[in-house]
Amino acid sequence: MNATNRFLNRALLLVIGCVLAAGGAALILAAMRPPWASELLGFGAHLLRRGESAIEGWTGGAFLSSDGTVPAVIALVALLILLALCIAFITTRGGGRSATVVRVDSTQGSTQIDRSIAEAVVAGQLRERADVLSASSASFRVRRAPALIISLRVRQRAELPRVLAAAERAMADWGQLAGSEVPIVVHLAGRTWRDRWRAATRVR
Amino acid sequence: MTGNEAVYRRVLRRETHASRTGPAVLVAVVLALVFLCGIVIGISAIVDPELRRIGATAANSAVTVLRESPPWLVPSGALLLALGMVLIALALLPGRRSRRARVGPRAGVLVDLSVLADAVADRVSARCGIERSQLDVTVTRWSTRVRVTPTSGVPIDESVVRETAHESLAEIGFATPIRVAVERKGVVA
Repeated sequence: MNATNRFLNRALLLVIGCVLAAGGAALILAAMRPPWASELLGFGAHLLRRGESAIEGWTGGAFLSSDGTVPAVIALVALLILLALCIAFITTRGGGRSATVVRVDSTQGSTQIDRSIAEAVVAGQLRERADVLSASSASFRVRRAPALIISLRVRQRAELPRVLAAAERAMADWGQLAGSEVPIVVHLAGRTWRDRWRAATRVR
Repeated sequence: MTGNEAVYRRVLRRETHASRTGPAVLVAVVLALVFLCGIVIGISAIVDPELRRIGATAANSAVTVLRESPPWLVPSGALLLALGMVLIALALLPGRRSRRARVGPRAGVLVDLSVLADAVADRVSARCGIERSQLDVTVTRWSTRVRVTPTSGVPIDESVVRETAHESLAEIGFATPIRVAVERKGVVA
């Protein structure tokens, strides 16, 4: 769970996918040259020539009649902008984690409860159970408010209703301690390949 | 609880659908490298006029080669087209993960399908006296299938299996229609 803008992820994939698909289709058509494709390519070339004339008109003939410096500079600036956008895109993936789970502001000051307290109260309590292999917590900001995700890996033959009931008790304890309702999601995760080698029972 | 429902829905929706961050970052990294190469070539072309002349000659040669339809043109085009279709599919398909989710009275609950399948198999094995290795349970968003390989000479009551499977899922709030299939060939005890 994080604050990644998933719409941007899919938009980038869609745009680049369309560009690659169009480029691939154009190469195939250029190779096979069916009669209808010749008309299409001819129309494309006509559009390019009209574009060239329009640019020449706007720039007073300075664009294409130069020794190539002007188009090169414009292309360079465009590439720099695109490179900056790519770097911004890559660096803004992920994030959204929050160290503060509860924040209460009053006239006398503010009180914050750290994620580690929630980890100790909720995940710590569940980790002690014999039917739980591991328990961890993470807090995020969702719609400008904190939310907790408690991830549990249960042992083989664990009774899920009991594990969920224990999770509810731990969350009730947390609710009393925190004094405010924080959205909590309990995630019962599947065992990894390493967990399959562990014993079905826990010995203390 | 009502005030938090929107938060639960958003979190559970994000947790049950792929983010596509991996492929998007890979595409962005490749694009950044391409743009970086373009910038280096562009700066070199501005500084060195000879390089601009070489670039123009190379572009004209490329057009000439393409006009002659070399044998690698169609496979290259097909590869680009296939890659493009893969990216479009990643963008448009929902990318549902193998999980189920619900909003409970106190919290949102998210469960991996493998955990549900294990729970069903364990309960059916314990109640019906069937070896765990003789059970194959598949849980999807819409249904649960329990395939039983019986021990030769030991009859299987499908209704008990179905009821037990349904109970194990209903107890945690993820009931689905159950299909039970008993293999014709059994195993020797």
